[in-house]
Amino acid sequence: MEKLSTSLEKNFKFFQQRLNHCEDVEFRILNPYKEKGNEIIFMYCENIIDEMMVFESLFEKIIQHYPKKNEKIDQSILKDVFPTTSIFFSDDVQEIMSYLFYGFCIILFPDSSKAGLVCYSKKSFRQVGEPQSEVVIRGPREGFVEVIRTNIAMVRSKLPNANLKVRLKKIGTESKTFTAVIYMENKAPLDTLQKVLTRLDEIDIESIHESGSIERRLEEHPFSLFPQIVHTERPDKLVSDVMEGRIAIIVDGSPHALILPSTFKMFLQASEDYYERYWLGATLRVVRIFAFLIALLLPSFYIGITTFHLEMLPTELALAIAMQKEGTPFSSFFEALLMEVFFELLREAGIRLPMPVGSAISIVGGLVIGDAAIQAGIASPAMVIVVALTGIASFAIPKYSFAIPLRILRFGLMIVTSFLGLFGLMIAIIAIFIHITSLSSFGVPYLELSFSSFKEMFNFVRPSQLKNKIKYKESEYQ
Amino acid sequence: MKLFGVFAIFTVLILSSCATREEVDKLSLISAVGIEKNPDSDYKIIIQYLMPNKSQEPIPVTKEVEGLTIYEANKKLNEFLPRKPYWSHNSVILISEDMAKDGVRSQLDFFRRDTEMRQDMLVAITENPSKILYNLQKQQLPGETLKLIAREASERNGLGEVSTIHKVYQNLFFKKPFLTITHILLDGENPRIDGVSIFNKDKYITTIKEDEAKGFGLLNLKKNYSSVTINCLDNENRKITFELTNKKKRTDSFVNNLGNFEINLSLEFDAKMAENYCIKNMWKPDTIKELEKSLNKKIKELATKTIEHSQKNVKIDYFGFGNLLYLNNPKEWKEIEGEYKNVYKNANIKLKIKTRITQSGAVH
Repeated sequence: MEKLSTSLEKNFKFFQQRLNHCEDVEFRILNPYKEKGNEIIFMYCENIIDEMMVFESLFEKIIQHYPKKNEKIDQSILKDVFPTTSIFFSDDVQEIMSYLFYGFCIILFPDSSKAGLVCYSKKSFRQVGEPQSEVVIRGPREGFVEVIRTNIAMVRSKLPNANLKVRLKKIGTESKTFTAVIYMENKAPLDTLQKVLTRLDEIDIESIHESGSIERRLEEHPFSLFPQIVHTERPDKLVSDVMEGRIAIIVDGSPHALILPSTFKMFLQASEDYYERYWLGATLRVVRIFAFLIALLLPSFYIGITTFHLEMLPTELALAIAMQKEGTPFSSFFEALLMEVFFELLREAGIRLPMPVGSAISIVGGLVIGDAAIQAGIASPAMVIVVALTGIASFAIPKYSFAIPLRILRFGLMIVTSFLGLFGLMIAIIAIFIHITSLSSFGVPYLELSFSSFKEMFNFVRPSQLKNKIKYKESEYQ
Repeated sequence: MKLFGVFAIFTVLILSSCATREEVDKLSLISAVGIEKNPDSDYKIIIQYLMPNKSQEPIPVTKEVEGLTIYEANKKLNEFLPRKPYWSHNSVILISEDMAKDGVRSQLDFFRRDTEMRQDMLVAITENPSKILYNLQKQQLPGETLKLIAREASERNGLGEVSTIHKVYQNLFFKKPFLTITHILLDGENPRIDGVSIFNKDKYITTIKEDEAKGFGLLNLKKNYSSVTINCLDNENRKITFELTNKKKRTDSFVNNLGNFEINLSLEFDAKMAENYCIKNMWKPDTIKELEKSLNKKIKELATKTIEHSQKNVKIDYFGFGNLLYLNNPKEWKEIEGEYKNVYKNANIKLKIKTRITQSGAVH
């Protein structure tokens, strides 16, 4: 059955059958005069609806306006009850079903193939709070929550402008998750927008629980280690990116909004760079580039120098390293590998555990990595410094998703360096560089190599519009 | 294609087999080396290496090995060393005087040729390298200490020069028929830089010391903070010392019409008053001018003494004036190259010295 029939009995039977074992769905029959064929049936999902409101405003008002005995009841009663509230009618079963689970109250009338839909949605959700993954010292403290309506409201209140378009889509063959595509009509390049919309339509997925699951389907190079789409929890960041002409995607149930196209430097930016005074932003960008390099290269660089190019070090330092290394059984490479694995274990354990246990883990881990490993002669103190510095540097990168490729590549670089020394390291760096330069995100080169983008990178100028940055036409990057 | 890529990467990694890889704890760092003549074999080398130790500071160990060449001797080291001798951090090569008389090139060849050699090792001439090295054993980093002494002596006192192996080879292969290397003397228990050894080609001739060495420093060194002491203007018994700071040197060498080799040297110094025993008021412009004149005279005296020494006693141009002619006018140089020794002996060297007292050091 795709459309409702005119028989109320038939419709009621159908819904009862279809919603069999959906015990959170309530059916209520209203028949004040006990007349057959003159009743109306209410259908709603009790947990996502405001039941008090349904009782107070819907039921009571309908009973007040109920026609007299022997008079037929029909849809016009809803107009009387709610002269202003938005009410609409539908005969499409699929649509009715989905609205039922979005928190609508469905009203079935006798001898009518149209059902009335009234919104009483009330989902309980997390309060708007400070974004967990993007903490700032200066800047707005609100972050996205899981409910898409709240998120869109936050964006809209920052940009009360008709040019800000919010296009809703439903993604997921089973879940039908609401997905909003947000952009500025006068700023977003039309090609890119079209491309994003078609990609979204092409997504073939049963259900979405996080924006991450569509992120990988939107990327042009899903197998690259480097993320090509920035996600953010901050409405202010989203708005500022949308103002540059980028396109944002918010998925219901996820506090992480996607921003695309994204480039390399966006992963090293924090919104604070633009809120604080100019010099702070410029300096912190440099610090973050160093953090990027340290997180990627330091352990392999250390291995390369101590096992292949000891002549590069000052004599005193070479001697100090030699003294520390005395009595440790493993080679520098294995030592570094061991400590890095320890560190990754510790980090992984710390993230998954609840807070009180997590602090206990960090104490144990700190002791194991910091002190006991040296005491036991497994690692040298210099190696511990290297590993610790690498860990800290990877935390200094503002976007967590960007630290992940560094964590993985670090091990690869360590292996290459242990075989080929600094030459091998250099070869690997060149290979990574070639890979990054070959990436693009919706026509924008991933590593924007131009003087103007360099100026943007170091905060000398405000970022320019996206349409100036698109270097490849759609046909070229498909 | 991708599979091939992965295969290629693994092949490269495995075939390289960690070539030239050395763990730090499998090395013993050599800090200083001395080369002496040995009646039995060609070389006796005295090697001072550091044994890294987990609990305490590394102790230098001194060993003597013999061999036909230095590399042979190096290989013999492993007859008693449990680790590979690591030469990159060697900072001093001490060559005995009698060894140097036969020419230093053959002894330095190993240090120039072998891989991973740092070219900033100090080459020094001394009477008895083993004595110096045994005396240095109490130091933590014996080689480094010697090198630092040489650098400080040349920079702060204008004595000798830091003759790194790189510089020595530069001089050897340039058109300079001379070589200068730091000379070290064992003064009681401590090594001391006492002058500059002069070489003809690569053969040791003599060492200039004290005044001549100071003159050499004034004429030759780029950076030089040496001190000059003159008598007071009013009282012959009282002294006044200046430190020379900024130095500007202009040299011009050519062959004049008569066929004589002529060198015009002009030196400009800034002087800072360092110590003053005079009574007379110092900060009158006239006094300062007088002092400058007196300083000029003293510096000229020192420089002339060294130049005369080079022309009359050693008969070798260890300042490199000939090299300058080669650079400015290679044709002229070619004409006199063969008999340069005689030409230099009779060369006309004109010295022009100008001093400016920039800091008169007024004290109330």
